[in-house]
This record gives sequence, structure tokens and C-alpha cells, in this order.
Amino acid sequence: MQRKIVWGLAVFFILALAGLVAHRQVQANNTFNGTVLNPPVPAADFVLASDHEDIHLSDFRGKIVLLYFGYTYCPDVCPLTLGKLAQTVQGLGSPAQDIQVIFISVDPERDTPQKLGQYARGFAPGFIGVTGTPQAIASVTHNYGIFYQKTNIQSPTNYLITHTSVVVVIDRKGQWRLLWPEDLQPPAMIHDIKILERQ
Amino acid sequence: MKKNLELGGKWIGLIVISVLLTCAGCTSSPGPKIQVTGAWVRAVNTQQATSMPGMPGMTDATSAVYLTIQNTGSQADRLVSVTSAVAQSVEIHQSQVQNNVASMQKLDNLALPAKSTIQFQPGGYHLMLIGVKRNLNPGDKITVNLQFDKSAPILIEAEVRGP
Repeated sequence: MQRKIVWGLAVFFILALAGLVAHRQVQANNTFNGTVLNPPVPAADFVLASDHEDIHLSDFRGKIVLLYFGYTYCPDVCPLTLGKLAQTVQGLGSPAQDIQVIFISVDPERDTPQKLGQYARGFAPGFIGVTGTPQAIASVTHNYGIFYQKTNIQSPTNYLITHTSVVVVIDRKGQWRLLWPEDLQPPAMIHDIKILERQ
Repeated sequence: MKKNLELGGKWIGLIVISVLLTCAGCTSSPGPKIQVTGAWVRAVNTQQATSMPGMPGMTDATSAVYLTIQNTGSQADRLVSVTSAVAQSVEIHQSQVQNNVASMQKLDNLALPAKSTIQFQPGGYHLMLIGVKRNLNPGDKITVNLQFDKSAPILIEAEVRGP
């Protein structure tokens, strides 16, 4: 009898431990890597020019939208981040058709819609590059908390632009859900998108 | 007489050995010793490039070269200028990201301390190609000429890589 009690307790503790591990795993699977906006904020709409047509953010309701702000003269950080987004989209496989990456220029004086379109598509075929008037860019960057500032230098480029380097993540309902910091890597991005897709 | 010749011979031998030792010291004198490895450059499409504002004849296409510079010598040196036939200008730059804000700084030169390794990698040091003259397609190779304060120039080959 005593042996049966001991065995019963052992089985109970093993099952309890397994349940705890499974619960932790479920929690980890549903925990975002990016910075969470709680509660989510309705993503401010905008209209900016691509090399084909004017683009409204609301055109992409039903898709997960990733916004990144930069400029085409930037040879290093911007390609690095857009490259990571390309790896993320590639790593998702077929669900990638539900993802839209939009690269928004913070250099409206130099970045034309044609140059932006070619630049963005260089990272992945479906990426869109957009620009607008300085006032339109000031408005959309303000809405998404993006800092940008010209720095004049002695160089043929005349100036460089210091800018916030984060990815704004908007869900299928048009709610701004996450901010991905500059150092987040594609596996962590894929993890976050998979959570959004399940919701 | 014989003794004088023997002494003289010994002195000559000493002088010759001293000269030889001094020359051996000359050939292995301390100084910088620069090696450049692992060079690659970002692909770029110049189809939509236009003229750099205010600089007709210079395109507005840019790219970045990454590599590793080792100074295995006992003396410091400096990277002072870079040129490449594929770009109208090449500058030494350093990117920095602090609190998710990215900035870039142009450097007039880059110190290469003795016994040091400097990595040029995305998000850090890079050579900015300005006025890229043609498409750089993945798999292509370009040449880049690095000039130093003390060491002789080094011509390297960099492979073009896609995003």
C-alpha cells in the first residue's frame, strides 16, 4: 500500500512538472521579442508616392505591414535592416504574401520615387519605397515617433542623415502593435510575425 | 710580422662580423606590417541613379566596402585615403547606433595601432563608395586601393554580395 502511495505521488509530480514546462513553452511561444504597444494604437494613415502610384497605408489592411524609415544614400545601416527584413520574409515562406514592407524615405530632397522603388525591390521583389513632400515626411515620422536630422559634411554627398532605426509593425487590422529595435535579428522577427498571424 | 698579420686578420674579421650584424638588423627593423583580408562590397543598381545635386557627372549611387585590416607590426600606422575605379570618391566612415538612432561619421583617417585588428563590418566602420559608376552585381569583383601613412599602398579585390 505504501509503495502504491509513493508511486502515485511520483507520477503526480512528474505530470505536474511536465504541465509546468508545457505552460512555460506556450507562454514563450506567445511572447513578443519586440517592444509591445499596450494597448495597441491605431496606425496613422498616410499617403506617399511610390514609383507606380500613390500609396495609402490603409491599402494594406488585411496584411501585416512593416515600416522602416531611412534613405538611399545610406550605404550601411539601412541596407543592413532592409536585408534583415528580406531574410525575415524569406524565412516565413508562403505566409510572406501576407507581409508588406514599406521603406519610407527621410530624405525627400534627394530620394525620388523611381530611385526608392528600385532600391526597395533590390532587397525583395515586393518591397515598396515611398517618399513625399518634406511636410508629408515630417507628418508621418511624427506620427510614428521617428527622429531624423541632416548633418552637413565636407563630402560630395553634402550631408548625411541621423535617423531612428526601428521597424514599426502593424497588424492586419491596422493596429500598431510592435517596435522592433535595431539589433533584432530575423529569427526573432519571424517569431513575432507568427504570433500576429495566429491572432 | 706573422703576429701582426694574425692580429690584423682578427680585427678585420671583427669589423666584417659587426657590419654583417648591423645589416641584418636593418632588414628586420621595427615598423607597421599591414594585411587586408575578407573584402566584400554591397551590390548596387545604378539604373535609377541621377547626378549628385550640384555635382554634374557624379552619380548619386552609393555602396559600402567591408574588410579586415591587421597591423601585425610593432609600429602604428594610419589608413589615410582610399580609391576605387568603380566610384568617383571613397570615404572612410563609421556608423553608430545608440538608443536605436543611427548616425554616420566621416573620418579623415583611421588609426591602425601596432598589433591590432580593425574590422570593417555592417553597423560599424565601412568604406563608403560615392558616385558608383556602374551596377555592382552579386559575384562581380572590384578593386580598391588603400593608402597608408607609413606603409606602401595595398590594392585589394572585393567580392560583390547581395542583400
